Amino acid sequence: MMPATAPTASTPSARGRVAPAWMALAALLAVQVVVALRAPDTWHLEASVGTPPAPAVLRLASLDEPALAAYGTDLYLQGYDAQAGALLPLRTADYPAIRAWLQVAFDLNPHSSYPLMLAAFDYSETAHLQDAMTHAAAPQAPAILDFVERGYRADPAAHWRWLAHAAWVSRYVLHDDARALAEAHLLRIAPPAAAIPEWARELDTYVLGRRDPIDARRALLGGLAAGSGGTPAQDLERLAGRISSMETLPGSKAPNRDAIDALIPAFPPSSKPEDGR
Amino acid sequence: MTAAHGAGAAGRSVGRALRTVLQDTVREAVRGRWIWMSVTGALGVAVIALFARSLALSEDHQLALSFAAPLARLLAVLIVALSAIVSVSREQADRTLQLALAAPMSRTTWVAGKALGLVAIALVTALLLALPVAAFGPPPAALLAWTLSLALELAVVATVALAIAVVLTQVPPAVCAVLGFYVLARDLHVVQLLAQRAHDYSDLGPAGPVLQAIALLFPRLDLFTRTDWLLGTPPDAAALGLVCGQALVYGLLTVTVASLDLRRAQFA
Repeated sequence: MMPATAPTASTPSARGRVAPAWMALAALLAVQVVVALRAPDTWHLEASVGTPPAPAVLRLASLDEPALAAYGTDLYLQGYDAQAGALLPLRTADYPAIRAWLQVAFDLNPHSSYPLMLAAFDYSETAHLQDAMTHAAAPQAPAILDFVERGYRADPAAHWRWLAHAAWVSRYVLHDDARALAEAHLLRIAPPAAAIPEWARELDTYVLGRRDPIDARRALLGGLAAGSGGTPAQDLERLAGRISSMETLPGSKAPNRDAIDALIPAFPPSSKPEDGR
Repeated sequence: MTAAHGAGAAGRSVGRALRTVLQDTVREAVRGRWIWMSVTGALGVAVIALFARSLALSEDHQLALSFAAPLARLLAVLIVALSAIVSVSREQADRTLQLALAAPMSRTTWVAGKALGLVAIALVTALLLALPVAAFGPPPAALLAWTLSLALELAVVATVALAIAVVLTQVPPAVCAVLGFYVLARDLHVVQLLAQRAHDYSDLGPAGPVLQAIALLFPRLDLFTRTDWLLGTPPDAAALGLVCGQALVYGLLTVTVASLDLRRAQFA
């Protein structure tokens, strides 16, 4: 009696067994596609970015890579207002939580200006908008600018640019001339080792003394751009873009020139700006 | 035959055995697509770093390096650890280890040849995974120091994986053990610093001295391949010397452990 041979793929019985397997695979793939399309969307906008983890936890989780943890934190915070394609209005955001996240990012990598850039360039202005809309008893914008000032004090050479920007925000957004002059004074009295350019040391004259906030911002951009290899091109482009968007808006509120003139004698004397500047 | 002639012949025999095991180890890793894995990994690191850089509003160069360097390092460790574990486990499962030991080759020679092969794999992996980091233009001297340190770190991981694979023989527990070892070697010093700063060990009770003792037995991988070297704080000669010394000491230590364990193993 001949031994039975095992069926191979070429034998009719094997071909019959193969076809149902392929059909089953196709059917299951179709079911998977249907399940994926019908699965409910459970995402919803989160207004608060929440309490950040401790810097030590992030440092351990990143296997002792503080720069990676810091930049990852910056990107997470920066992208928070754009959740799954929907934009979260920053004027409704939780600014104490944002400030906490900025502090964590700075503590992880004090050499980086990224958190100070986010604070001075983005969050301070929108926080002020929220404070004005809600008539906040405890405004958040000054607290965010305080964070920029603390960052500057930790390393003036690395972070003076963002204190200069914070001074602009204080003057032309918060309309807090005393704060603006105090921040400009910090730049003026910085030690020589900080290598702060002369125009920044004379910020109260060169930038803050101008009436028009757009003109003042142009002066800030001009000073930053004139430095040799200091300010990254990305920062200059963002500042230029912000000036362009300001120029398309209705005219900004004129600065309180009299208040500035009254306060200047309280600080070391500097040349006063010409009229109309 | 004089004693010197006999010693010379024995030395040449050991050298041939070492070379044979080394070549077999590398050849097997190449057959296992190790180079393709490393190249694909390097491309993946570059893509991720480029994506992160595209999101940056400022400091895009530093941000890209801060993503590329740690990812390249971690991926290189995974590739080398898996290659080492699979290489040893396969030899034990296929009984080619017994075949090798049936030849006039001591167990120590086999372990040494295997370690040399895995170190060669580690060096090439370090060079391949340094490429995406180099693409973001760090200072050349810093990149050279970083790549050298990565190669030494991978050599340590390779010899540790060899020792663990010899002891544990099965792939899943060996992989878990090597990864757990690596995480502890990177993070243990940070845990110690945090404990010192917070409680000065007083609240840890008897766990404090145990933690300190355990830390003494782990290599200081937190000092290796640091990203801040690429971001403007290059290492000095003392730091590099410590890295080289630590790699040499720990590599020899783990090869000795593997040799001792293999000597006492009984093969059917």
